[in-house]
Amino acid sequence: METDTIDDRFGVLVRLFFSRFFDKESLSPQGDAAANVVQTLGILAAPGGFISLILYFAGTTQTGWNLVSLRCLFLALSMAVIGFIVIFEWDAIFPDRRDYQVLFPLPVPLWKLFLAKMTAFLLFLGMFLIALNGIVTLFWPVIFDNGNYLLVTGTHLLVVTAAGLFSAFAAASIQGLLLIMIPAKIFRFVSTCAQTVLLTVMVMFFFISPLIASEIRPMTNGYADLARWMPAYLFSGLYELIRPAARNQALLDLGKTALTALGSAIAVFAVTHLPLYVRHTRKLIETPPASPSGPGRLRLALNAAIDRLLLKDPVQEAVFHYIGQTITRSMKHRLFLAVYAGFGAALVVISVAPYIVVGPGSFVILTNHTPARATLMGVSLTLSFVLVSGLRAAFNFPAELTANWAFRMTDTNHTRQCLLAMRKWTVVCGVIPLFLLLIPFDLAFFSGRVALFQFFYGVALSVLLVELMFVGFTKIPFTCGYFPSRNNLVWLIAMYVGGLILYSSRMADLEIWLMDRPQYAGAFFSAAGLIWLASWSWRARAGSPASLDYLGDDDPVIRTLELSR
Amino acid sequence: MLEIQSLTKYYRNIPVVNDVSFSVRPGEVTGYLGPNGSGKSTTVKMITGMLEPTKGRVLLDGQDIRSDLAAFKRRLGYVPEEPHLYSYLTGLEYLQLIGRLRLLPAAAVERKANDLLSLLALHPHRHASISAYSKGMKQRVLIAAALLHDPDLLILDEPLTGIDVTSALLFTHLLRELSAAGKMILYISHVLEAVEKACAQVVIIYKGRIQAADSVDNLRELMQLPSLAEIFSQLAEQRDLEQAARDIVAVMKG
Repeated sequence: METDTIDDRFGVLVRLFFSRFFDKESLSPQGDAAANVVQTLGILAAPGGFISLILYFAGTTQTGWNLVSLRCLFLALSMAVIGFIVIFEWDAIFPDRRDYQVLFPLPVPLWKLFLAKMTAFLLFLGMFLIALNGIVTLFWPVIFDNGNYLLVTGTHLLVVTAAGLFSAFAAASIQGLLLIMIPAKIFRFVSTCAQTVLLTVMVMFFFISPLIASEIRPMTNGYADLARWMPAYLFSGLYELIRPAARNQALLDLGKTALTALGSAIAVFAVTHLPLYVRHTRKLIETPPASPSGPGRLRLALNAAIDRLLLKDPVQEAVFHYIGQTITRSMKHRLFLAVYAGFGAALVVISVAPYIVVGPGSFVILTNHTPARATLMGVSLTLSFVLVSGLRAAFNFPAELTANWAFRMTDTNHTRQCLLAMRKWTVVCGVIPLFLLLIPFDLAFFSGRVALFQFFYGVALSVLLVELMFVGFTKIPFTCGYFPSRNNLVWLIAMYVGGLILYSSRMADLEIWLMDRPQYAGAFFSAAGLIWLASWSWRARAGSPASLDYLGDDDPVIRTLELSR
Repeated sequence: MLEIQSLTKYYRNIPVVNDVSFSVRPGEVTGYLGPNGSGKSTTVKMITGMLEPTKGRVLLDGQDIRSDLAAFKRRLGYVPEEPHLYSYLTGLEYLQLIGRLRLLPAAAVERKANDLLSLLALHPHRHASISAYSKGMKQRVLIAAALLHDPDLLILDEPLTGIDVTSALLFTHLLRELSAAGKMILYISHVLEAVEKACAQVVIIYKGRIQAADSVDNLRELMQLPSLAEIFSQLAEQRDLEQAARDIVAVMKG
């Protein structure tokens, strides 16, 4: 046996775990996770780079509340990104079956595994923090905050790291608390729901970061109690404690709370995760894979009713249920939809924010003001647009690339039934539940009559939108054997910039106009019905596409830059 | 009868399968053997219609399968080489999906899926997601899915991979029953003992070309060798395996 080798097991483990964070199908379904992460890091570096350059050429140094706002922007962005990653990598904090199979037979103590995993995780998070703040940190002393270079840079790094750590430990603590509080039987379900909702929230916070930053002054001065619940404000306060800019007492108080918040997050994490790590590892070794009891009676009855009343065809049933099963269980599709949902939520917050009137100790959203009314009515339309376009985009992503042979081997010319099932799923499981969920929101701002009209109007428009958006879509969702090309990205951006603005604003105006004119409203619904029927019969007459799209165009043997096109 | 006529496939001008012809008769199990990379899986992909041949054709009861691929698929049951399944579905959900896509009535899907899962010792795990299944369990799900619609033609590509002894024995009996029921069966396997027991004829492919196609008894007689393993070794594996084993141990110790 060789005795002169250095014990670098910890380093090896850290490197292994670090690389495992990239080894996720949901992170990169095409298998080039590292490239995707590098692209993401580049995208994250962009806001800092742009802002730095703009301010550099403007030639002014930011001071006072302007400087506080800028600090808050980068803190909010950093916290949203770190929170997103921790929630996305929830399961990666604990060892999985692969770790158990590969590492546990080796002579490595459990504490070393835990420490290596935590170190790798912190390094992984640090990489994103540096991407977001790297350029800004370099420019910070020149553009944002005159002073000793090392001191200014060091302060920025310190506060951003503290904010990132708070975000990481707070997000991880939620998982720890769920593990402790939720019974094992329903844990997987609750954890999945919580993860999806939190991912959505983090994406929303990312997009509304500029809004959060711009509101720090009125919030701190007028709503200190509310501001205390906004972590980006707390750490802006911490920044203020170390390097005063606005010299505001309320902000300084928030800074003191930041330290308590960070300490609490770390404490909750330690209390929940350390014992859970040992328990989780033991469970992994001792417990055989669970054999769940299957769907409950209610689910079975609901599925049977859908089959009997809505689908009535075995192929439609197969595709309809397959879509639901994939959406609810595939991490990468949930992640994809969470990003869309977060984006939609951010759009809503940004559009409604100008109509929030702040009074002493309370705030109200204007509903009698015509533009505000149109904006609020446009909320559901914006969300339905994001939902339908998000679903269309998600349907393009294969669930498991290699498994689509099951569809190809059983594809016996039932294209029409497959595509019909997809449209039905989008409306029944996407559009209608969304508008049902929005009824309480509508009732909070409008009368019952308006809320009812809003529901039917929104559903009618969304059904037409589904017809429009799925023209030329000839795939069973999640079964294509290739990934959407970049053409789709261009199409998506164009659709968003043009379509979303036109759709939600114009259609909301039309809704307000129709609401007081019942005869025109009747005409609208009749016309919508006729358009839908015309589209339906056009599809029936035009015939279904000869075959479903599983493979797309063959990959060229040699890829070129296509500059000659 | 399934007839494979001069099937050829080129990948970038290299023939992976070259002029392969043989037939699979009803009520017979035909073994298709060859070392890794010999072109077995490519042949199977062409027979199942997933890959278009460069040359040649596949006939089922005298009709080119490409003239009506959908009709061919209705009569085909296929167990692929790798257990690629939608791992987030449960075993039962996977069979329900396949049964519905095969246009079986809902009641028949439920009954057959549950019965097959029971017979293949998977019933207690029917509500667990496939990702939690062992390789052998996944293989059994694939076998159940291939049998669900009572196909006339079965193509079984390495169906015993990861399967335990009991299930392997069950499978040998199953093959016998299926051939007795008049099914056409193409059986691809590396387990030569099982092939020798189950197959009426074997086809041996090496480097894309057919090396032999006859009954095991005829091949034994023709080549003056006692077992299929030795016949296979002679036709398709020219390495001195004993020497290779000695070399591996030498490397290990070195």
